[in-house]
Amino acid sequence: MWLLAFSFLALAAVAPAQWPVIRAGAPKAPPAWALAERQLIHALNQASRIFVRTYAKPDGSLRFKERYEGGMNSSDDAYEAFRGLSMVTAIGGDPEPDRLHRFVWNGITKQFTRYGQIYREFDSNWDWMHHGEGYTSFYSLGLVKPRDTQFRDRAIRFAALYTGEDPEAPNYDPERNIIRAVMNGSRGPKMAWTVRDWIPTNANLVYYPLPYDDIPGVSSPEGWINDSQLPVIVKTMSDRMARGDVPINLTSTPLVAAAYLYTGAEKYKQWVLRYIEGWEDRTRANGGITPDNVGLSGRIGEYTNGEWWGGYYGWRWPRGGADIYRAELTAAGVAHLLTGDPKWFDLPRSQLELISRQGRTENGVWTVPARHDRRGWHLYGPEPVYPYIRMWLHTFDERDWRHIERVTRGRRGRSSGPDADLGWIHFLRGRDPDYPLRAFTEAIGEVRARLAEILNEHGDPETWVDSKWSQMDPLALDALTRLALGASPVDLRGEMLHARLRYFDAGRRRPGLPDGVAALITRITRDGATLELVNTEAARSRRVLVAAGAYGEHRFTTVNGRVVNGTWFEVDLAPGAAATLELAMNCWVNKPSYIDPWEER
Amino acid sequence: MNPLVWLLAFQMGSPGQGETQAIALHPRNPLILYAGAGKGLCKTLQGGKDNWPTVGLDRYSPRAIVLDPADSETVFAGTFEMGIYKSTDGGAYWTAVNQGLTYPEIRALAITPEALYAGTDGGGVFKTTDGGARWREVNRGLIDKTVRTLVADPRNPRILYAGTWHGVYRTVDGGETWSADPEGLYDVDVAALAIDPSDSRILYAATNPRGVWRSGDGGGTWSPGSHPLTEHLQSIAVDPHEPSHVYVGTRAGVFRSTDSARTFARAGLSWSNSVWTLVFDGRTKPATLYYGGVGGVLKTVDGGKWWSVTGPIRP
Repeated sequence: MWLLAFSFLALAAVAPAQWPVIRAGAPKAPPAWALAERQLIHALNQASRIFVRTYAKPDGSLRFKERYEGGMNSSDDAYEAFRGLSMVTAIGGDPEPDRLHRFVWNGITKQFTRYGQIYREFDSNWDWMHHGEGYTSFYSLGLVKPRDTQFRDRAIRFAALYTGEDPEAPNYDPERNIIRAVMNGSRGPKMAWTVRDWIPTNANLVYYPLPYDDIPGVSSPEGWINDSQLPVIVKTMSDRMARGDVPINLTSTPLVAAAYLYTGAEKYKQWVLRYIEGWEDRTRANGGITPDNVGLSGRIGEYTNGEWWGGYYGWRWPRGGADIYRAELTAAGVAHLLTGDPKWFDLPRSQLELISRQGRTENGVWTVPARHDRRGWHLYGPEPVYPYIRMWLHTFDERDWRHIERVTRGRRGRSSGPDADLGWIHFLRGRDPDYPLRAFTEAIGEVRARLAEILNEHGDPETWVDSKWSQMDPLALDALTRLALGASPVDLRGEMLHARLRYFDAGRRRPGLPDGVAALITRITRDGATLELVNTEAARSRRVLVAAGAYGEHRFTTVNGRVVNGTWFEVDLAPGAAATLELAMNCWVNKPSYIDPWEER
Repeated sequence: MNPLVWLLAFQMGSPGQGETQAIALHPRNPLILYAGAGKGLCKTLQGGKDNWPTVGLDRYSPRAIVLDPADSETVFAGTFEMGIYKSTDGGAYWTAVNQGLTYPEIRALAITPEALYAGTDGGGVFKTTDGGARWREVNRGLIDKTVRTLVADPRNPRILYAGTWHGVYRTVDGGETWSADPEGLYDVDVAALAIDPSDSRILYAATNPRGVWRSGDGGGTWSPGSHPLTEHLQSIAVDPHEPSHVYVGTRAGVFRSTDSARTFARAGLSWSNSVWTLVFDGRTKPATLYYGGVGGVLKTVDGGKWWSVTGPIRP
């Protein structure tokens, strides 16, 4: 821990700001984690430029097929692959990655409009598993430039596709509080599917179980690639799945919330809450299990012989319940952000506990089922811990912590891979002090390894599939997101960022840590955090503005015992100086927005 | 590994991460196949059931693969823009063999007991007689140097045919001179060529936009099918056991003719908008037709009535 040399100063006298200022003046040898963090940010800056230069054309469109003849398979992979660019800037990279993100976003939009998939700048029809993947990339743009009118305007128009305000896209039925179809977007709900809609996705689906086991004349997934059976599969799916609402549509809530963060308009918040309440009601009506399909009349199992399972991305889908509780977690996080009330996590928690209650020990390992259909619960596997961790980071509810302890008994967690959240949580609980250095170092290795592949790219874009760019994405941001922002990494399925802190360069008045400054959150509690800031620059001072939450949703009460009572405070770091800051906070108490500390004033 | 990449790893039941552009068969072991895919050069030892592991040339898009007829462990792969690579150990290790090959955009390879020929995108045809150590340009008479396909007569290694954007060219002297008959198949985009394995004088050309043409005299004269295909043609293959059965890959799936390319009917995969290659393995009876394109490598043994995946299906 660092010894602090800081003091609160009379603001107006020393800085053109009206927030508390803390000065840290004593130079120290920088810790290894701080140097590694800055090295990672440097690598991410480089990787951003090389990634875009390699895969985008001068007009921002992507190197890809001249003609794209896919059906609903959509633009999501293209947008998704570049989702990290603005985050690099938002955390502490150069402004350039964010500029590239906007440039590529616009290029992709034009390109996929030409292909026919984008219409009115939004995907015309696809499900919210995939919309969620793609539009994850959209939400981070507001973190960097909340006043960018082009993207602010898009956020408003995109939200209108779901709130019922856009007459050309009646995706939402306000009377029954349902999204009318599984496939939805800027052309409205798609009530029936054709074979063409499933091309070329069918070529991948052949490697998965069939969507139903009672499709007339179809007994093998190879039906997906055979002309005689493909139409039968699609017709069966269309009849049973296309119409009505499904839980993955809850992943639309961040899109509407983004409009709220840009505008502050209450209608967006109300839509989000009401739509989630609809799923809460249906879950209650179904005896505590979230049904995976609801017909246009609002009836559960309307097209599945009354069964609550059998819907699209539902209980009998390959990943089964995971797609349901993930969507519920995403929506709960949004609702918590908008209301400050953790009760919204009751829905996903109830489904996780439901699945857990079906668990059993297999070969000494506690397992839970993933799927449910006429065979009952099946496809058992180890119980995942990440959903509980993500809940606990919002709720700090002992119930959620007990689940974490229960599921991970004997597991240590790692600094990367599927268990990385667990490793991070252990670090936050003081159990693994070497975690940050290890995580940053591994992330640097990951960036370098991916860059080596990108620099050796000599492939034929005509043969690339639309996941190509995601496969090559070099922006390993998870470690930075966890350790610098105190946030779970943004989920690929459409989550928003939920962070304890974020930073601005007070000297240059821009988002992100100033050059040379490293940040590490070493402790997070329900009402506080501990932050270490290090100026790795030996000859230059730096001014860091620390913000409470990604969207100013939290409030600092005190910093190292001194009263702050606000969303911001500034730390002036002399050359080589460091500070350890004990932050007392009231969390989820402010109205969230895409904040700009200088504009707001 | 992020969750998406984890998921994709399970999707690679065929040479995934891109469309398959080339397939080559091992001459002795029918379970060994090579495939040029978006992720690189894949080799299966189990007919695809081992999930087509990559053995090299990652992100080089191998578009043409041939095995040395004298040594099946020697493999040549022509790439999208990085020239030609050679392996002498069945794909374990690859070396660039590009000396003298001034055009690295390889579109086709043809191998004979005497020489290896490379068709390039803009540079015409190159030839090596020393296993790729040195290449020389052999373009005399070849006016269109955008070579899209290249086939060698299995009975006379000095005779080769080159399909270009402007017709079919023929050499009878191992590439030293080429000629195209202005009265023949000329001034048309020739996407693919196939030789009848039972009679090498019979040649089929998949052209755009003029459909499939047939020559019965080694390319001297050509006649069109009575029902020319309107789809964009990409590949062509002749059934070794039923030489009148001709298969064409298009941007709208596979078509089959049972009357030597006079008429065609659908033979499955109508969803596929890229049939980059069709390759027959005549060691099975009926012959196995392999498809390379969207969705990796698929196969049929009943003339396209039923297509199967080559990779493992998830439970």
